[in-house]
Amino acid sequence: MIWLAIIISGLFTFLTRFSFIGGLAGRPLPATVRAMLGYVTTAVLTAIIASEVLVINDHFTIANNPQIPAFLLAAIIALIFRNIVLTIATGLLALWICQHMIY
Amino acid sequence: MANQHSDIRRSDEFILGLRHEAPLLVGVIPFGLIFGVLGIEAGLTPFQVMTMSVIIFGGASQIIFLELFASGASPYLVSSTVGVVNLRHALYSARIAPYFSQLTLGWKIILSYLLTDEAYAMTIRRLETRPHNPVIHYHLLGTGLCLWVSWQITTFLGIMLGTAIPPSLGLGFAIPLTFMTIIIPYLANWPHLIAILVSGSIAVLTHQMPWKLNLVIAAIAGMLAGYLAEILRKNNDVDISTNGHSQ
Repeated sequence: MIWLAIIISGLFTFLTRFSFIGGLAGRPLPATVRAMLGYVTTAVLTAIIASEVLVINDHFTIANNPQIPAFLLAAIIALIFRNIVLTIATGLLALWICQHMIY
Repeated sequence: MANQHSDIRRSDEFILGLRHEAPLLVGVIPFGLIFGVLGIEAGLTPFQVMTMSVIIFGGASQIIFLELFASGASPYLVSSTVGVVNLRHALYSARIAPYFSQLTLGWKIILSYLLTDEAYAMTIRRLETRPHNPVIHYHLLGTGLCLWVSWQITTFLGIMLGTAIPPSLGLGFAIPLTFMTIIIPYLANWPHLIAILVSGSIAVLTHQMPWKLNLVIAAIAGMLAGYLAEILRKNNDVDISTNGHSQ
């Protein structure tokens, strides 16, 4: 099953990249579609972030959710330092501290 | 003589591509390592993780794959979400296609395979400073291969690291953290901010839907919201400038 997912994902991705270079797409993209595609990344990633951080065991969880303070602290570090490794390390460490000491 | 001259320029252009891509590796190296580690954490075999980096070759979309796969989504939902996330590459393909129209099919296939965010960004910058460049495909070959080799090596190192780290550490939280670092630069742009707020809220409000459909609905709503915000802002700008004229 996983191989099916990997191969179809790869095929989709390649065909998207090949679309105009290889002349698969007959005509240029309409301006509306082009403008909307500009928001794909932010929209998809945010949807995943929100459901990962705010939903625990299928429940929307605000109280007693150690992931929220850990995530916010990591976001502040990301805003200040713009450093991937530092941000992830801070977030993981903060989550660990929150889980073991506060909640 | 003329042939030899153009040969030199091709290799120069290729090396220039490698050099232009190099500074971006600061962001790519940790990303590849994280992907390798998370792939093992998600329960994939080292061979599956490695093959995914070769077949898909698209950073964020590969981590989304892991996230959905680990949560038990069907292969079709996993691959259609990966497909949607990577749709933005059609924009790059459209923008750069006119420069490659004379190339052979083999070249077009290789360059398409290598057309990632980072490689495209650097080659487009090269085209902006030098629009009439008949060997620009060597530049994309340079930026693309530089990224490809780095991505494969760091995936491999991440796999090694991942097999050494106990799964009980719960590194899954690194996924939303990684995505957050990608989104942070967009917060300052307000149509993107609207897209973020709408997509995040809807993902949570519809979280009880089956097959992770909430992600698809939230993503579409976020895209529409961002697009509408962009139109509203443009209209506002037009109003302000026409008012300015009449005064």
